[in-house]
Amino acid sequence: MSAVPREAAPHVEPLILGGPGYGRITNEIAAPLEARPGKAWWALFLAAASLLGLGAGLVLYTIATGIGVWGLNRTVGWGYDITNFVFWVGIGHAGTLISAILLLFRQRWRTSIARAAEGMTIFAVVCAALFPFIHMGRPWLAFWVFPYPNTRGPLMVNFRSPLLWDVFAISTYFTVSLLFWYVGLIPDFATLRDRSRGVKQRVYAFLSFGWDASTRTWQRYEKACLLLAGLATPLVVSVHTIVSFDFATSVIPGWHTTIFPPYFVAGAVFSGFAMVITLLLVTRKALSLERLITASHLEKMAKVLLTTGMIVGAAYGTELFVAWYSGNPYERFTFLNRAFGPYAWAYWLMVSCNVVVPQVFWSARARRSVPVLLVASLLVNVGMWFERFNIVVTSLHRDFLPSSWSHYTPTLVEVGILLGSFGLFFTLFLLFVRFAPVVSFHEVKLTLSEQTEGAHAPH
Amino acid sequence: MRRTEADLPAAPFPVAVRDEREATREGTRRRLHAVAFDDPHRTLEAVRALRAAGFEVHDVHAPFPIHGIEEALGLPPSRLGRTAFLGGLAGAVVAFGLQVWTHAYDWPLVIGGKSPLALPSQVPVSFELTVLFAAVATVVGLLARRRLFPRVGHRPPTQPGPGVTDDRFVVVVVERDAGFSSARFDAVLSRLHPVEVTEGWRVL
Amino acid sequence: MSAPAPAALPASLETAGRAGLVAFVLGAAVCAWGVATDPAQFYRSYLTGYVWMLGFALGPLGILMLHHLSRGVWGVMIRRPLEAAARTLPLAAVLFLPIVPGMHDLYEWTHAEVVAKDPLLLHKAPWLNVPGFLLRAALYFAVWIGFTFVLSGLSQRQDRTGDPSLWVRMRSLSAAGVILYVVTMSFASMDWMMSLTPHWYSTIYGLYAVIGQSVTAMAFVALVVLALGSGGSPAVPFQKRHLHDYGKLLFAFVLVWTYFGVSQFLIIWSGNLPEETSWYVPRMHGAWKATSVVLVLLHYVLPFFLLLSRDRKRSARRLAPVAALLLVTRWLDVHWLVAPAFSGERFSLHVLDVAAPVALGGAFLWAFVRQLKERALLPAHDPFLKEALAHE
Repeated sequence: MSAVPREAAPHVEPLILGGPGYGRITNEIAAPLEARPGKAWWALFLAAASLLGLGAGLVLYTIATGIGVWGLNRTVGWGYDITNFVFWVGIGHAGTLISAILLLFRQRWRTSIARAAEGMTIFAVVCAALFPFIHMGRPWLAFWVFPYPNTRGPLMVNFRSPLLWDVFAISTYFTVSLLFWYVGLIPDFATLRDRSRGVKQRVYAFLSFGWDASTRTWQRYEKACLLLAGLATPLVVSVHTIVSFDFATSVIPGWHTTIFPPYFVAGAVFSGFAMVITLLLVTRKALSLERLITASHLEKMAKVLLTTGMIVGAAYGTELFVAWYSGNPYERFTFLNRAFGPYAWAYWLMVSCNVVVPQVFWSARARRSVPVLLVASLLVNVGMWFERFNIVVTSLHRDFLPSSWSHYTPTLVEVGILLGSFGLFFTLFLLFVRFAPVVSFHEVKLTLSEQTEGAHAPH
Repeated sequence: MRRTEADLPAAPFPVAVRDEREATREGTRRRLHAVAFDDPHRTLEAVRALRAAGFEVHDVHAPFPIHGIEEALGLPPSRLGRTAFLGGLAGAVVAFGLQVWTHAYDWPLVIGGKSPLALPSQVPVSFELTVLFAAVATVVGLLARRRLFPRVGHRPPTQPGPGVTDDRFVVVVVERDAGFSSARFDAVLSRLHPVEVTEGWRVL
Repeated sequence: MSAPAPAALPASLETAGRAGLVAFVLGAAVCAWGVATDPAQFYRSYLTGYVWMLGFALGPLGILMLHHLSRGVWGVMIRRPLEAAARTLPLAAVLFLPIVPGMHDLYEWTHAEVVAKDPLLLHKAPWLNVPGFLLRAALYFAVWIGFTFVLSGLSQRQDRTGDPSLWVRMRSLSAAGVILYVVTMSFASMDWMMSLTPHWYSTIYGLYAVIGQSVTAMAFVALVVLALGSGGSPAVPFQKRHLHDYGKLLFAFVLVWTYFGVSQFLIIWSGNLPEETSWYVPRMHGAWKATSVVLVLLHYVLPFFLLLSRDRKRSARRLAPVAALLLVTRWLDVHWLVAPAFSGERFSLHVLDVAAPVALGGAFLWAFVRQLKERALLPAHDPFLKEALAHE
């Protein structure tokens, strides 16, 4: 052995920049909450709120008039509405995934981004749940989806229907994500409580549930977080699996294929990570959190994007191959129609955004470049929206019977409601970054302590 | 190292005892020492040293969980895992019961040519309710066990100062009996380099 | 800087290697009798045994690349066993050869007269034909063996030169490798098993095969860890937290296996289309129905409840029985995939069904122990080794 231990310097860069000091972290994360919102925040908030207003108006118009105001017809019974639903559920997956799976695998880089991602999950699920609700046409009867003793027979809900499974999946997912998120916030609300005065302090004291930072509490708290992570991980997978069952348990070519569950899950992770990247790029800039959400975090997320992009690409390939291999003329027609039919532009837009664009992340420079990441993450979400559009609309519009073939064009109302859902999402997110710490105090401090421990490891 | 009265910050145990009657009803009023550190490793060492020297460490308050502190304090492992498991079991039973009762017993339905008791279609809902019940049981278990619930007011009385949610790690030592030697305590402390030592009273 | 000395293995592993050789010889003798008396049955049993055995060699390659990619500390401690298992792939390629003369007995689509009368098989002929089958098999093995030797070579170079930055190259290679492994193994399983019922198709089939290999790999790792980590002065100082990670991975793979299996079944069951349900019909009647239930119980229900326990995951001794159970049920899973293609609703279990996996598994075990001996048991210059060895 040579005298110099050459393995002493693993190529690991620190996740938290800016030197030691737990108090410094408290100050950095709390600063944006204690300052008045800047012009940029107000501009974004007003834009988001106006979109939300537009969407809310159009939803009311739809409910008052009936869903005939949409472009749906007898052949294409699902259009923008279900596309948006699947899109938003997909966005809602990366949050829990980042938090839970990365927690289980003790990936330290999760700490800086987990909170924002969890928040994103909840807001995205709210957006998602909106669409089946308004699609019901008579949303005031929405409670009929729940199994309860009633005067209609009592005819119970149909447990054989994947749409009912969805009710259970989405409501469970929403509840568990909310619990996971709020449990994470309790110690952080306590930190804010101990920094503030007057009414603010009372509000944070209320929200922090009497947290006293005792070891006995921390011990159970950590255990609870691990358990919730362990439960949330299969839950995430199950939710998008059940969404895929909405399609796959039918017999419609293009929908009925066994790879749909993992293919939907991979797509959800892909689009969710893209949305996390978009949001974090904006948030870290707007709240000056560059030392906590570092280039190293961005790089790791870009790698996840690249990997899941290739998985999605492999799924497209498998579908095409098996459509041919099956020898089923309807299967084959559906896929030829997707690639070369009237919606071919949507198909190729999907392929280029989801498979081609992420390839840029083979380059380390691209993975660390903010503009490249921003553009790529936005394009991925465009691509993923069109993936769902392709699945929903192109599988339907040319039916088994050529006499019932049809075309679907969305009306302005549908486009407006889609924009409105983005308004809802961003309004909620912007309010969240104003009132709750967008990066977890205690988790970043724990990461920092482990980081310094690594630096001072015994030799 | 020990500070004078004037240097002390606001009382570390703010709502120690309201009056003597309360003290006699619920327990004995005891003297507590809050030994503050600014580093998790020193805190851990301090807990080990204090316990080894025979002092009773009541609790440690910290801005984040310190690895190995439960063992150093001699705390038994948490039983939340069992709570979650039982919750999950209850969820599975409820889901299964609900589906079997509504579909196969109360109003038997043949849908899509499947028998009313078709098990495969029960998998998704059963799974979801299992997870839901287990997660709710976990959180309720945590909150109930540690008495965490929304409350009006300020900091809880058990928390020694505002710093423990920021950058302070406070070891709370309790004077359990008359054998507590201040001189020996100071001697042990002088080797541990705390950043601050304060004292107060609380009913334990 | 000199390369670390090759490993001195615990006696239990040396014995296991010799036992593997004996098992191979005995199993091969029974197989030889089988070839002479009932070649058709031999090829079926051999195919099952082969696919089962391939999981031991190829599964670890997948896990190894997953480790390089995620760079978890968990993988450092088992890197050498994974590499050694993957280096038995050339042997696996040789052992594939007996399937070639058996193609006519195994695959309906090799019968020209049947294909000529069947429009569906005629349609698939550009894919399902003998030269294509062999060419693809060669390609799969080339990819797997290629990645194994490049990764294993880099690992050896790291031992020799101590250059810690080599892991960056291992990681980049693994990124491409994982995807290629999943794709090639998916197609391999379609070629070798799905085409036994050439009319039937399922898009998730390949992934089901891949995850099965991951279960095999982690279960095998658990047993190797028991052998290497036990005794007064263990060959590798495994800690409870390492075992916990292996237990968690095994648990996760078991869950994903169930997930893929249930997904496929639920979708086909709901759609209820004859061209798809035809595959499940024999497996849901007669003795195969019982086999399906046993498979669910032993490959999912029992391991699920056993692996739920944190203490069991953290003890090599208590994890090992679960791992051994899973390795047996892995065979049952492959048998369940392959055998009904020939026997229909009639249950089939032949003495060759035991002899073939015994011979193949024995050969793997013997080769694995030989490979494991060639290098040090821990990658001394892995930049993450220090973190892996540090105490909790």
